[in-house]
Order: sequence, then structure tokens, then C-alpha cells
Amino acid sequence: MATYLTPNRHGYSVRFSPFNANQVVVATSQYFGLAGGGTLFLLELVDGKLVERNNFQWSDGLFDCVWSEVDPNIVVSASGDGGLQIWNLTGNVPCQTLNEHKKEVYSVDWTRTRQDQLIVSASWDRSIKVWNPTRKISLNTYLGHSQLVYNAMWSPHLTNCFASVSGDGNLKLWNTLNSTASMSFRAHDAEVLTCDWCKYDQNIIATGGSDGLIRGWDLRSYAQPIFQLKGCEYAVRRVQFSPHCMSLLAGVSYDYTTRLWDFKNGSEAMETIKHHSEFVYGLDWSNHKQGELADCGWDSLVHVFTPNSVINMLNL
Amino acid sequence: MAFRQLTEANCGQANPLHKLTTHLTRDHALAETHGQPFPSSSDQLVEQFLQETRMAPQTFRMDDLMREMHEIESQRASLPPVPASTVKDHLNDDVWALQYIEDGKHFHVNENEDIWSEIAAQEHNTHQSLQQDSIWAEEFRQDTGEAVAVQASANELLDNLDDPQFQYSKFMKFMKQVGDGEATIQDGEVSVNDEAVEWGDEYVNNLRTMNKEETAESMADDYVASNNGEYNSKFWDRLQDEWKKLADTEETADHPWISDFNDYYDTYKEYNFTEENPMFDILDPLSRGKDMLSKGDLPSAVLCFEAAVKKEPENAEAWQLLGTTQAENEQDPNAICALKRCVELQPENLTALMGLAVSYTNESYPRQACQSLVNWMQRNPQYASLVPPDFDLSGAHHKVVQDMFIRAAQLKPQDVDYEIQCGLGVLFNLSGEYDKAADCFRAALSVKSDDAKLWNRLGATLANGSNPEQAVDAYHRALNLEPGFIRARYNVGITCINLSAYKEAAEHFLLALNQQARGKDVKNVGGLSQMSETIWSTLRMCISLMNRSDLRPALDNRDLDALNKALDIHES
Repeated sequence: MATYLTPNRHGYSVRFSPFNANQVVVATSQYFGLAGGGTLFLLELVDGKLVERNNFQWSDGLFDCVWSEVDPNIVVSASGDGGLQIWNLTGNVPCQTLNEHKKEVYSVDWTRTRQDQLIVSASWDRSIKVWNPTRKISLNTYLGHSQLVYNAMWSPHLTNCFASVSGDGNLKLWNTLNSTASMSFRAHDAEVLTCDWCKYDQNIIATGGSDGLIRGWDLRSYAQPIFQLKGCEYAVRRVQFSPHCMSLLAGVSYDYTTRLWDFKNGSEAMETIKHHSEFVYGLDWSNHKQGELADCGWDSLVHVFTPNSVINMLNL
Repeated sequence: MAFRQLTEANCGQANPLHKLTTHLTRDHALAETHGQPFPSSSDQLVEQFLQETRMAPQTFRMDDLMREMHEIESQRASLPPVPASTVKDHLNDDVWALQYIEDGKHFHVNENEDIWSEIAAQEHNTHQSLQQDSIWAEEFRQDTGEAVAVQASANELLDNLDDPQFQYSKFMKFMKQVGDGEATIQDGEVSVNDEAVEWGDEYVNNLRTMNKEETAESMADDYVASNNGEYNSKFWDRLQDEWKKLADTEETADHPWISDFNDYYDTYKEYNFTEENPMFDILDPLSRGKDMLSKGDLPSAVLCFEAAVKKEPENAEAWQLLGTTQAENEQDPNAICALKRCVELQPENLTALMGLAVSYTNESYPRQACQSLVNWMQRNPQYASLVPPDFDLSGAHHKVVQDMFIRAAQLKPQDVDYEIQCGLGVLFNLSGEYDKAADCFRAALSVKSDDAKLWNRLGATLANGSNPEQAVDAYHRALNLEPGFIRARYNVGITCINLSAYKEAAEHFLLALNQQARGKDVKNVGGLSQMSETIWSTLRMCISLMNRSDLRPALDNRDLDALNKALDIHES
């Protein structure tokens, strides 16, 4: 397991690069994100250890980050001052900042389909905005959530489609061409903090809530969840489907754990990993190496590892 | 739940703590209330706490829960009026007003509007009519409204989280600080203020003797400057810069840190004796102490010297030995007290003065360090002429002192004076010129190559100058000369951490702590006052970097045996 310590910076999000199997970018904030600034770290795995290649400072905490799917040097970060920063990793200051949200931007995602290259950002001002990375002004703003929007993710299968989850307990599905949601239903009796699409089935989406549950939904009939995974003692902060196996899910939680589930094999976790001493906030599966996972938490540690249960499951 | 209403009304205010609280306390209870979106009666509150009881039966007791619940309910009820009462209290206090006018000018426009509209909304809801005549009162309320709300949220969060696993969480500790008012989050900045009250009082007192308007503005400027100053990537760098600023400028009582510092500085007057000193009954503790020192048993030597000074409070030599030994024992605060006492009795004691300079540098009092160095030079017959006769000690600026020492070194270019080189090394350390400092210490070592203290100082300089490999070599030289040199061992531990050799670092720390603890065992007297706080806290950090959080309880209880076993240290 490779570990990196970011002193005085608390990790909020970690993402593998789509181009370089060994690079990750970590969005961190000072003072747990409550005050101060933020830093974006570019780390690289060299000989099984994480080494810092560069870091980028911002005057407010950074809450999420995502790589561009077309340029290996572009990373977008979301910060507490309501802005998005587009960084070129070879420079020191953002090459573009997008400032339209009125409150903290908590989530940012880049399109997973090849047709368009767009960015979606979700903010505590209850709105979601879609941007073209080459333009300073947003393409559209989507209103509809009655509470803060915690996460918005593009579908990897359906073009122009993204899902969003919010503190009002709802999951909403949007088409970029319409300003009202195409679909909306109640996912949890609690705040929904995260959502992710299944990489192998275009109809399945998972949500994680502050009730500690992860629910899976088939969008064709969303009255009942198709699975419900339990185990987390506190809120689930992030959930992600594996890019290599249809039913494999990872989730990180406020109970300091990273857990893995196979939703086809029951609702209990396959493996529980507790290697953080504070809330675990960031999670990402590697697209290049099967079974490799990265997570980061408020204890300032970033881990990159392959869980044992996944090694067995994928016969690595 | 009662407080859900509050967060709904204030949704989206720049108070992320509200969100965190709702995430963390929205537990299994809500899964059972399918029909009701968000419970709002106190029955639901009770039910939720009952649920939590089932989760962790060993830590919950119903009476406590009922009491907590009542507390929370009353907190909720009293929260809205809080901003109002503070305004009324301060209506007559111009000082605060002036300061906050300055602060208010530096607000971001967005935040202003949001907070203001939200407070306006609150007013509406609670039907309170507050007379807001003057602008300063409004701005003040905006400013403290945020800090007070954050403090209340922090306390909410702590009240609702009783899980034992959160006890060791740094985030929870931070919340405790915010909740207690030790740290305030305002304007996107955090200011940790342990002596906030004292500072406030000091400031008010100072005002009465000085021109009111002038100091208020300059103080506000300082405060704002220190908060809105250039953002550095490391918080500690900023602290360091502040200290350098202080050391370099003439500002004294205006800056809050100096008044803080003046309070703190006085604590160095009283030496902190070990409570049960087994050496007290020995006939000649001074010689016994020198014996222990030559054997390299620092902790026992310290005990002997403490007994000696208790028996003969006027013995300057005893105080000096106590001071220098405590410094080697990684107990700088005590070293400073003892050396000060020595200098009072024997103003021309050069060893004590040099030792004072080093200890002050370690404890980050650069001004005092410079003053000690000037004193040293004044008392030194060889160089006293270099100090101008009417030299004002309060003007002991770093640059000036540095020049004096350089001239002293140039007096005898062939003969290296080992003490001058030491002094220069200390000065270059203060100014951060670590390469030059390393050269000075090497020069000193060419004169006295068997001085463990010098090797340690060289090591520290190299480590601070980001040269950890060479630093480790220097430390090992020091430890070879003096295996009981606690400070050198602590330093090599720190360097190991920087080189990511966490296991080795922890071993070194434990060895040091074992050595310190053993100083008690002459008469099998227990007690832990000999062990250095710095070593404990660094060991704690090391353990968490090693991912051995199972050792936390042992750390908290200071259980050396358990830690020794866990890390395979054999006490010889």
C-alpha cells in the first residue's frame, strides 16, 4: 500500500488520471475545509511509493477535483468560494476560473461519454451548472433541488445525461437540453451525499446517504431499490462502482472505514478496511490497474492499494 | 428533530458545520420513520437517542441522554437571540467597534449579503425588533454572528457524538477548541487564541494609557494584516514570519502577540521542581550530580542538581549545571528558568548566557536570544570592547548582534574562537541561514571535536536546512560521545520522521523516554514529571504515521511498558 501525508491539509477527493496509470490528483483543504485555503496535490506512484510531483494553492478549500478526458495536463477543482478552477499541471495558477455559483461547489465531474466535453458542477446554492471548459460562462443552470446538492455525476453510457443527489433526499436525473429534471425520486430518508453510475449497466445507479446505507436503483422502475448495502455506522461519504466488475462497489464513510461490496452476493460488506483515523472523504477506482483503489481522508493521508477481497474476486 | 428547523431556515449560510452535524447525527432512527420526512417533535428526538443507545450500550446512560437532550432543546431555543445580546453588551465599547470597522472593510461582498439577509430572516422569524441605528453595530453583528454560530454548531456536534472512536480524532479536538472559544473561525480564517481574554484585558488597559484612536487603528491594522496577509502554503511559515516581523520591528505593546508573550514570558521566573526528589537526602548532591553527568546519566544528574539548588539557593554553579543539564535533557523551559537564576547570581557566567541564548532560540524567543548573546559579549573580556558602552538592550536587533559577532570573529582570523562561532551559529539559525550556521558549527568543532553538544547543534542546523542525511550523521556522533544525550536522541527521531523512517523514529523516542523515566528509579519512586512533553507529542504523531492507532490508549495513559513491548524495545 502506498501512502502519502499532506500535513495540515485534509483530503476531500482523490482521482486517478485517465491517461497516466500512476498519477493521482488530491483536492485538500486547510482546517478540515472550515476555513483557510486549499491545495491540489499531484502525486505519482513510483516504485510502490507515492511521490509529490507538484502542488497548487488556492485561497479557499478545495472540495472536489476531476481530470480532463482529452488533455492529460488539465485538472478541474471545485472550491469553497463558489468557483471552479481549471489547472494546467505544468503551471502554478489556474488557466481559467469559473465563478458563478453563490456558495461552495461540492462536486465536479467531466463527461464520461465521447460526444461532448462538458463539466458539471454541483453547489450548496442548490443549483447545478454545466460548462464548456473552453468558455467562461456556464451553458446552463439546473434548479430543482430544495436543499444543497452534494454530488452530480455524468452517465458513462447515456449522452447528455447526469444524475444529482441532494440534502433533500432526492435523486434527480437530468438531460442537459432540458432545464427541469427528467426524473426525480426519493432515494433516502436522509441526506444523500453521493451517487455513482454502474459502468456495465446503463440503468443502474447507486446512492449513499447520511443514514449509512447504500441503495442501488434501476432507473426503469425506481419505486424500490434493487439492493441495499449496509455496514457503515455513519454517513456514507462517497460510493463508486468498479470499472472492471459489474457488481463491485466501494464506499467510504464517516466511520473511518473503506468498505467493499459485491451487490450480487448479499448486503454485507465483503471487506472493511480501516486505515484512516478521521473521516474518509475521497475514493476512486483506477481505470488502468484492475482492483486498485485510492482513498483519502481528513487525517491528511492518501492511500493507494488493492484490497485483498478484490484480488480474490477478480482473480488477480 | 428540533435543530433541523434551524438548519433549514439558515440553509446555505457559510457554516459548513451545520451540514456536518446533520450528516453525522442522521442515524438509523430515520430509516424507521418512513412516512415522516424529517422528524420535528421531541418524541422523535428521544427515539433517536434510544436508537443510539442500542448501538453502543456501554457508553450511553439514559439520564445523561435526557439531560443532553434538554440542553440541546434549550440551546436551540436560545440560539437566535444570541447575536442580539452581544451587540447590546458592546454598545458602549468603542474599542471593539473601531476594530470591527476595520475588519468590516475587508469583507468579501458576497459573504456580507448572505449573512446579513440571513440575520434579517432570523429577525423576521423571531419578531424581534432591534434598533440598528449605527453602521458599526450592524457590521459588528455580522462579524460576530458568524463566529458565534460556528461556535454553537461545534458544540452541537460534540454533544451529539459520543462515540469513543471520535475521542482521538483531531477534527473533534479542533471542534472542542472552536466550541470553547479557543479558536475562532471568522471570515474564512482561523485564529487560535489561548489567551484571548487576557489579551482583551491587556489591550483595554493599554488603551487607557495611550492615544485611543491611534492604537485602535494600528491594532486593528495589525490584526487584519495578520489575518488577511499573504497566504502561505504552511500555517507554520506564517507564524514564523510573524515572529520574525516582531523581532525585526520596534512594535511592542500594540501587537497582540507581544502582550500575549509578555504574559507568557513571566512564567519563566519560577523553576518547576520535580515533586518527590529522591536525591534530596544525599549529603553532597552537587558532586553527585557532576558524577552522574560525567557518566552520561542526565535525568539523575538533573535530580541531583535540583536537590543542590534547593539546599543552596545562592549557589550559582549549581543553577548553571542544572540549567545546562536540563537543556540537554530536552527540557528547555526549565533550563531557561535555571539559567536565568544563575545569571542573576553571577552575571558574568558566560556558559549560562550562551546556554540561555540557545534555549531561547529553541523556544522561539529570538529577541531574548539576541539579548543573551549581547550580554555574553558584554561580559566577555576579550570582546567587551565591541559592544558600544551605551548599548540599549531593548535594541538588540538580530542584524546588529550578528554584525557584532562577525566583527568579533574577524578580530582573530587565525584562531577560531569556539564560543564566537557558537554564537554566530545560533544567530544564523535565527535568521534561517542554515548553511552559514552549519559552517560556523563545523569551525567550532574543529577546535573541540569531542563536544557532544556541538555535534547536536550541527545536526539540528543541518536538519533545519533540509539536509537530513548529514544531520543524522552529526547526531550519531553526538550520541556516540554521550549515549544519554536525550536531546540528540529526540532530534535524530525527528529527522527519521522527515526521512519517513517511522519505526526507527519511534524506537528513538521510546529510548529517550525510557532514559528519562529511569531517572526516577533511584528509590523506586513513580511519577512522570521528568518526561518531556515534546517527546510524547512527537511520539504520538509518529505512532499515527505508522498506522498503529491500537497504541493510542497506551499513549494516553503514558504506559511505557506497553509501548516498549509493542515496539520491541528492551530496557537494558
